Amino acid sequence: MRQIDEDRFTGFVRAHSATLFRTAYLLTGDYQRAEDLVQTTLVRVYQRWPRVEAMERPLGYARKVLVSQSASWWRRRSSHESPLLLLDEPARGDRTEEVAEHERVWQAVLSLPPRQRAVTVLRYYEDMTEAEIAETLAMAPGTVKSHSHAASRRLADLLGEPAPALPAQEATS
Amino acid sequence: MTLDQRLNQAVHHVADAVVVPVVDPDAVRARAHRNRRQAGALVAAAAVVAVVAGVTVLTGRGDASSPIPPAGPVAPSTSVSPSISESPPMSPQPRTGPRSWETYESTQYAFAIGHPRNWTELPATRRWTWEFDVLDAVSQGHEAFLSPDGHVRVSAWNAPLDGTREESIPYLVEWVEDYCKESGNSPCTGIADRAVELCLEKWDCHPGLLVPFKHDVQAFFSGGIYAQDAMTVVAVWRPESSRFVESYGGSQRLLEDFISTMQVWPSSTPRSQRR
Repeated sequence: MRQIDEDRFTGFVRAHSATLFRTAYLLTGDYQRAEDLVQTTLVRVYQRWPRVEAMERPLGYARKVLVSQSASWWRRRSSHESPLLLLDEPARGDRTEEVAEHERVWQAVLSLPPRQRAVTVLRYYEDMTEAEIAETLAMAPGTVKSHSHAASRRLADLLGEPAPALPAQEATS
Repeated sequence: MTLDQRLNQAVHHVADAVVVPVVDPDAVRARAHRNRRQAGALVAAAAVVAVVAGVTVLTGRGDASSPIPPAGPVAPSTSVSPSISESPPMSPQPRTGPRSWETYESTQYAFAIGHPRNWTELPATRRWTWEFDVLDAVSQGHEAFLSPDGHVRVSAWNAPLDGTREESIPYLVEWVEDYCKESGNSPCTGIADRAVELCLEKWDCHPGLLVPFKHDVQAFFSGGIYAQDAMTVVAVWRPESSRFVESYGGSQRLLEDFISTMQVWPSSTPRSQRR
């Protein structure tokens, strides 16, 4: 690889490794695993760097690799997952309540099955559209929609919210 | 606050609060180079064993009931015979070829491929790219064919190559390993041990590989009458153990029939049967 390509890869790592790590952490809920995922992802990106650099969205490609790698981890981990116990804490009127609220919601997200969690993270953290999520997860848009609705229903149930209404066209099908 | 708002705030709070480790680009490079050296060492070791044993042809597992070896570090085989020695070798079936099949001419790629007459053609709508399609088993970049019952799908496409293409088995093994990892397939180790060596063209025998994976079986070949700057890939998206491919003799046999229409055969196929 030419020096200029090496320099650009260094720049890519410095510019985007933090974003990739945060996404990895949200996908796995595990700091160590997130570190491993980011390392593996960046190794893959480096191995194909001349082609990745020429892509329209190198970060998008890196994110796809990250999600794909995390899916492999989910498959190995799924037999060992145990359900999380959510604490029904009373509301309190200070900053502590806000932190507790975030933690409660986050635990609910962690309890989602892997693909529902991935759709949720990409939607709320990466602000992706349904089409963008479908492309990243290599799913049909309809499948993304199904996972999104299922996640919303489960989260609503766990967090004591009313069940989300289906879009009109789905409600009548 | 709505559920959407609660989720949005909580997810951003968690992401912002986590301490992000510093990633050293040089450590990434070192690991990439180490992975490549390890992959090369495994390929070289497998080649040495084959030469010492006097075996010049790699054959895959013919027993449909044998599972794919689990993913993980694979030690080079120390057995004298090829990797199917654990089960009795299948009697070679005469390769008459799917002569009654219909020929499909790809408008995206410079190849024609045959398929059973009662299968449905699903033409590619664009060319395959690494960026958009490597993780997609139903990519719009595939020329695809669907069995009458809808349970078996076969795809063919060209994957662009980087750099210089080499006509050698070690090159193909390394390429397939990279592709396996990029596409999220498994297992990505032990490919040299379980691959079936292919010949592209009846007389010249440009090398190719047929590789069973956990959920599918795929063939890889390049050069000769096909693209010099791309790897042609043909995939049967069912594992050998699937009951849906039983009527076709298994997914490997089905794939061999498809690629035989492209002048690609297992290298063990006698020339007289390559038609």
